Amino acid sequence: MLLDIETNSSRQFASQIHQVRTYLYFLHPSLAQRHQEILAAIERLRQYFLTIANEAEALEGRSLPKVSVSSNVFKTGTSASFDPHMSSLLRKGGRPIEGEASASIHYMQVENKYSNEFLSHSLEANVGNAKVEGEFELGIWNDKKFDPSLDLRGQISLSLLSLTSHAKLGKGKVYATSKASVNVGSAKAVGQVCLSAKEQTLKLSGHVAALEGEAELGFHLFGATITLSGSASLMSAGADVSYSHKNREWEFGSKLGFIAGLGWKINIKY
Amino acid sequence: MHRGYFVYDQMANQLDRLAQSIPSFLSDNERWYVSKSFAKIQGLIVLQRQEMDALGYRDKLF
Repeated sequence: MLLDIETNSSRQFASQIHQVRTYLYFLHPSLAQRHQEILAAIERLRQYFLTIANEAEALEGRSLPKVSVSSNVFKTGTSASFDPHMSSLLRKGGRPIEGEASASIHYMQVENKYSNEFLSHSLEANVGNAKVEGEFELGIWNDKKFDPSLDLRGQISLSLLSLTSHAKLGKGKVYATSKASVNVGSAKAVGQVCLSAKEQTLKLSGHVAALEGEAELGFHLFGATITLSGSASLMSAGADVSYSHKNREWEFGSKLGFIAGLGWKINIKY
Repeated sequence: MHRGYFVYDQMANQLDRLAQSIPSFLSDNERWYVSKSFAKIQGLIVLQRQEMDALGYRDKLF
């Protein structure tokens, strides 16, 4: 509000200065030159106040950084859903039968967010976490034809401390994103099966680790996305393998570790 | 009398009023710069009137 007042006052004062300028014609060169000097000095003063107004406006238009911190103690969450999509099933529609259930407990959750015009970052810390989740999708029909597909996913995870960081740098059509997570004292088992004529995905993994970290870096360039991700663990035992190919997206990755493990993955969407 | 005398009287009065009402949000340094600029313009106007007198403009119309 203060900036508003300053901007208006500056513009008004500049306008009043401008009104002082009066043109006169002198045949005598010395008088003509000095009159021009007077007009130029008045104009400089007017520009001075216009510059102050413009700078105040620019400062006002610039978005100020936003910072927020939130916390929860003993947060629990449960959810369950089942939808057979009966009408679609009877009409041989493409919507699959789907269901999911999850339950989670966090002893303590703290979230910190920061954002400005070009950078946004969030850091979430969860202490004492347990989560169980499962979901399935069963498709029977596709374009009125019998085309079965099955998608199953189940996960159990436990961790003493989990830290997750998300960041985005840039704006518009060119920007980079990063995601990193660290788990201390974690155990996790994941199973995923996706079977259909167009897609085959199989992912099985089981890990126990004292310290486990994952990082992901994405580049978004005019609609195409390249994602690089890596993971590492210490004092761990585990193995996983994954392969996936579906329309306009290709992904392959592996991880094998005992005591210390390294994994990698590349994903290209086009 | 040349029209310039009336014009410079009017300009000097307007500048004097503006110099008395410099916006309050300016810092001390900025106020000093603005006051000095007003004083400089007033000085140029005084010089101009003196030269007009010397050149006999009080008896001229153009």
